[in-house]
Amino acid sequence: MRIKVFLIIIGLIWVSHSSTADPIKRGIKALRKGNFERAKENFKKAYQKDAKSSVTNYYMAQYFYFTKIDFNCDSAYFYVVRSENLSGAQLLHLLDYKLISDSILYFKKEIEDYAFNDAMISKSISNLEHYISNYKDNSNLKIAIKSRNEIAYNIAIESNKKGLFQDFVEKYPTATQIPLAKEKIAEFEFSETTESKSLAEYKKFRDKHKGDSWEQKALKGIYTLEFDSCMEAKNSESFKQYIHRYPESDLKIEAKIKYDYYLFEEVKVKNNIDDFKKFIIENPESKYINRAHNYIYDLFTLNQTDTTKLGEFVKKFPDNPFKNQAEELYYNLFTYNQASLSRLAIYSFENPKSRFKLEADKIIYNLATDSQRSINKLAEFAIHYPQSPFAVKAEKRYYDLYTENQTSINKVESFIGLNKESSFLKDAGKRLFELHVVNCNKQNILNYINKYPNSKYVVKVWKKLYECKSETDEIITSRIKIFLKNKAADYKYIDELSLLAIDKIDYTPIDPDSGEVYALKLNKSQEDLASTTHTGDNKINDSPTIKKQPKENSELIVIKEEERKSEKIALTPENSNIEKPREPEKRENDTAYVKQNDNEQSTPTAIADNNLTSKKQDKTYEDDPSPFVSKPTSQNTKNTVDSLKQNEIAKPILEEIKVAAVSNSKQQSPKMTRSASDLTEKQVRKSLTYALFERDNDSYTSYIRDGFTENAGYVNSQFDYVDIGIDNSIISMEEMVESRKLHNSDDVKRQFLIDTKIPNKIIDALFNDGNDAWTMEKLIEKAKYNFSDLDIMALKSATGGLELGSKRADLIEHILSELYIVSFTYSNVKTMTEYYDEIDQARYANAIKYKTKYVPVNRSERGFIADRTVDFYKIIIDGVVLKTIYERLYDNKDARDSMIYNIQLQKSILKRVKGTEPYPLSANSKPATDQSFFNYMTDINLNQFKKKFSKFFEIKSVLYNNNPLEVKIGRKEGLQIDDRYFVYNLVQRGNSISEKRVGVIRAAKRITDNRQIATGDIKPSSFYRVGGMKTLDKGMIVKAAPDKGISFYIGTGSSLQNYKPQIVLRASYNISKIINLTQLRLEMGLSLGSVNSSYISSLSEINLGIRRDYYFKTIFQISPYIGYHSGSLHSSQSEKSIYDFSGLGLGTDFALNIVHNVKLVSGFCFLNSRQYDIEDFKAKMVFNYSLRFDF
Amino acid sequence: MKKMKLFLIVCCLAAACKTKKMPPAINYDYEVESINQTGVEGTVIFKVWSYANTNDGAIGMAKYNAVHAVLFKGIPGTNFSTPMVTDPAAKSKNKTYFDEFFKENGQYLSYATLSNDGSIGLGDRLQVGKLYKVGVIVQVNYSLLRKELENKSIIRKFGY
Repeated sequence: MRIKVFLIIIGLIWVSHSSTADPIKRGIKALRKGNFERAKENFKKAYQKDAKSSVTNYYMAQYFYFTKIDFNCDSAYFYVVRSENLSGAQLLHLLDYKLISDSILYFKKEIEDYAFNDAMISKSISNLEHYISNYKDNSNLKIAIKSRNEIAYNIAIESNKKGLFQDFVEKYPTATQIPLAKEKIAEFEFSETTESKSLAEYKKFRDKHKGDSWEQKALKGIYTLEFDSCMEAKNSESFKQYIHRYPESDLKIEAKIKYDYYLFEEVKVKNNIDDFKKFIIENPESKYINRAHNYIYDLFTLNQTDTTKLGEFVKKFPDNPFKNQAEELYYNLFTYNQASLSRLAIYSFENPKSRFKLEADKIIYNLATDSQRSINKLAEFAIHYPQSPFAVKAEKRYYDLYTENQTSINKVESFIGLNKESSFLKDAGKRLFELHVVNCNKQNILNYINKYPNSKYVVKVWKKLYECKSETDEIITSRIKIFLKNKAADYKYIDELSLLAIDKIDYTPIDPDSGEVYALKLNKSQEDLASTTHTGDNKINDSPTIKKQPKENSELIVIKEEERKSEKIALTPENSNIEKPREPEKRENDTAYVKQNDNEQSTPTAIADNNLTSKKQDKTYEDDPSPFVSKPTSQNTKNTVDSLKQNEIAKPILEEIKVAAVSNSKQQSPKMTRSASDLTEKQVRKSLTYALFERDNDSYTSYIRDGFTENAGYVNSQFDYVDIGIDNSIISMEEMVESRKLHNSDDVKRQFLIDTKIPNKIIDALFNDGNDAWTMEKLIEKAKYNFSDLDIMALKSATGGLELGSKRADLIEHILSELYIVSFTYSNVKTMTEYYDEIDQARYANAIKYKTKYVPVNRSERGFIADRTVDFYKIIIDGVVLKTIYERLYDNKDARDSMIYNIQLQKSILKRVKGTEPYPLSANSKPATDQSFFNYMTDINLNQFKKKFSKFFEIKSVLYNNNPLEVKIGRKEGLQIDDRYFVYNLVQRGNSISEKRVGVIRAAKRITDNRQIATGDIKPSSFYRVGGMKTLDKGMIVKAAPDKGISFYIGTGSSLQNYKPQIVLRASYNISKIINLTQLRLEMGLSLGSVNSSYISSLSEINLGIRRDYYFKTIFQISPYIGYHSGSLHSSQSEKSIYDFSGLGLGTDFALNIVHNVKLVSGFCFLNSRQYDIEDFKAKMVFNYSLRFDF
Repeated sequence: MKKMKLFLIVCCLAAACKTKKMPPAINYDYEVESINQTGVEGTVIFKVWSYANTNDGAIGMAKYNAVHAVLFKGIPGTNFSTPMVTDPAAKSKNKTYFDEFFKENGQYLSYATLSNDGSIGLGDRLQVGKLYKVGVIVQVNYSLLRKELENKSIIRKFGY
């Protein structure tokens, strides 16, 4: 047993011994047992024994990988790699250890994975680097490299240092982050370059980064630096170079701007027109072009101060944008703001392309023709301004005015005679023909035939004559026959007429040379024939007249050609009875005819006039040539303008282009034009006539009519009343409304005033001598009173002065220019009881509606109440109406009656009026009658309308003298002492005239009583000045500016003692009109003040006195004062009056005008009794400082 | 004493600084306008608008301008619309005469009178820029003036 055991033990020992004989196995065994020391020892032994053995290396790797004490992944990997080199023997050997080649591979992979994970987990570059460098050829290597690069790049990013990026690029050239890293490096470098601000650095950087994105940035830096250096250089050349060198620069535009700027600045320094011009040419796109133009404009025109230069500028610099400005300025300066006709004419001529030419022409047209109202001036205009675009218009206007719109044969004839070269001659000729043949007036037709035998309408007129004649009219038949016979050779249209002449005409041959047969025939009915002859008055401007010829002169009817030839003047009273028409071919001997030969419309009258004119031109200066004697030409204008210019330069005398008057003064129609001065109103006393519109069915109509009758005719001395009779002044409204089928309205009233011929009656009343004949006597009597002294003075120099007898257009115009109708309409007439009832009714209704207390009206008056409408109408008398009055109505009653005058509503004022007495009456009073109520209600006191229609009541004159101040107005105008007037300066700008107030004056004590016939010698009233600093000149406009004469003061004061006035209030009233002493004022005041005392607290004082204002140097004023003062001192403890004082106060104010009705006042007042000895209160002298307001 | 001196100096300076009144500048620009009045026989009456830098200057020029207008311009709208001197060269030919005629207080004054005593009518005084435009009614003795020029052989007598 023991042996068995022993053997077993031995066997076991052997077995164990045999198995441990291989160190690898032992090592494996030890390794499995965890005996790493032993395992290491055995594996080392095995390795020493066979270092190349795969098994050995494998297990060495196992050892280093699995052992805890000697764990070394790298060593494990080292050995496992070595174990891979397997030969055939090695493979067999592996099998001895139950290993296969894949075991090695798996193990190697495990080691690699472990090392990879370890490196990746560590996120350490060095670990990853270690892994990458040591563990080659494994699948994780790329990931490791990528991870390493990422980590390295992130570190560089985080540290944001150029070096790290550079290292990264160097170390990891294949890393995907290389471009980014390089970008970062460039960024750092660019940043460094930027910081250096060195152009060289930039250029270096650009060179380095040529072709990449940084090159542009570098270039941008270069552009900026270069631009900055240009900016420092501050000259255009550097910018020019810059633009040249860096055409791609983003600052190129800015550089261009700067270039323009500096270039312009350099040109500016030179301040030379040529340089500016060069600048404009060379830099057409510069934004300074406009300024350059402006400089040229300023330099050339000497800052727009030289009118001539302005004119030259316009012509020399047509493209300059300031041309228009210059043109306008030049236009205004040159033409004295369009005030000078001559300058306007020169301007218009010299500046044909000016945009103001038309305007200038228009102003010239208006100025030269008195706004197209003067016939003469229109004709002059057409002659002397032929180039004016308004020349034709003027000519047409002249034609219309002269020929009364082509309605008058005489005027049209006269026009043709005078205006042989007028453009409207043809039209006038035609019109003349039409006027003659209209209505089949044989007399007119025969006149035409006689006067115009060669008219181109000769056929028509003969036709007309034939049509109009009666069958038994032998004379006319004979004339037609003679015409046909004698003119057969001359007139190609004879056939046409022959047809008309028809068979009724006896074609008895007549000797064309003598014509005496005809004359003999005519003798048998001389009376008839004579009625057709024409006196042929050579006074071209008188109306042609038809006169019967005495029998004994019948031989003269036939005028032989020889006789006619000997006569220079074709138509004279002796030879004008032309029966035998002139023969055209014989006219050649007549120079006048020769001249007119080409003109079909030449007339004997015209020829006669021409002869007459040509004679007169040689002989006299007093007869004016016809306005169209010579056809106006541009040369005429040029000569005129040249002459103007020459005169202006050589001898500064400007010849106005206002030339010869139109025609013979006998022909000349009265001038109804208004001059430039008429832009302001004339000072003509207004003439008024009252009219009453009454209701027939009104129960109070008769009362109102009687009241109106009682009051009608009363006007202020400022106006003149034209009485047309009370019956004519009262108009029935019922009739009016009925006739118009309209309700009452202003226009209906106006129209009804016209229809009822109220204006006619007024004008008739001015002229009528009482026998339905018009004379100037009555008008002149009125004029003598109504005219101002200035008018009378002017009239004295005129022919006849104010003598009676002749028609005087100027007088008529003066008087008729200010005629007014003031109409009164009363409506809603009620008794006061009815009126109060209505109020009570309304109040009661309101009380119920709003649930308030009903308070009945206080019935304190008895009488009547009504609404009164007062309408002011002006009778419109314009040039045409005046002319009609002057020429037609004066001697023709029928025409006067049928004349329709226009009137215009100026103002309508509706006001409630009362005629009442207090109610109830006192015991001793007698109640007024109803009529007296209405008399009171219809009282016409025009002054009550002054506020609402101030313009109507305006008193206006001129400053007659400025030292002393005098104005030619007086009692007639209602002037009273201290009446306030404003003085205005008339300022003309172009065609407009405006008033500018320059001073304030008041009527002094010396007021002229001019309520008498104006003689021209009446002394002016004196005035004194109270406001305004500007010089007052003779001729300035003076207008009434009524004030109430009340002044209020508000201010404070001081004293030399312990009294301090707190509030000073005063009011004064001008009593000069009562006392007749200028600026004498009744003053009352109240002062409240404090007293610096232990016992007295305050002082109150009232005063009443007289003060007078003395003005000097227009803005200063001294106002001495005397008055009675009464005041009291109040205790500081009880507020009671402890001391009363009163006495006479003396003082004065010193005032300074701030504006004419506001003054700064400082003054003092001495009051002896203003003291209280117990408390040592003394305030005898008190000063005041206040503002004064005049109303 | 010092204050007194200072006061005097200030007064002197103030006096020296006082604006010097400029004499009225003569302006030969004028306009004539016919009025609705005919002068007594041998005279022409019309309104002459004169320009000057003072009111009185313009009034003062009225007679000069009126006579000048009658001689060389004519008065439009009147019977004297043709100038008395029609020969354009007459003025230069008789320069000495006209210089003498139109000199200050010259002969021309005896042919013109201010018809309304030189007073200015309503609206006949206007300010145009810096100038005053004043309209005055002037009566010129045309007959005497004509006779004078005829005697001097400046214009032709009637009938030749």
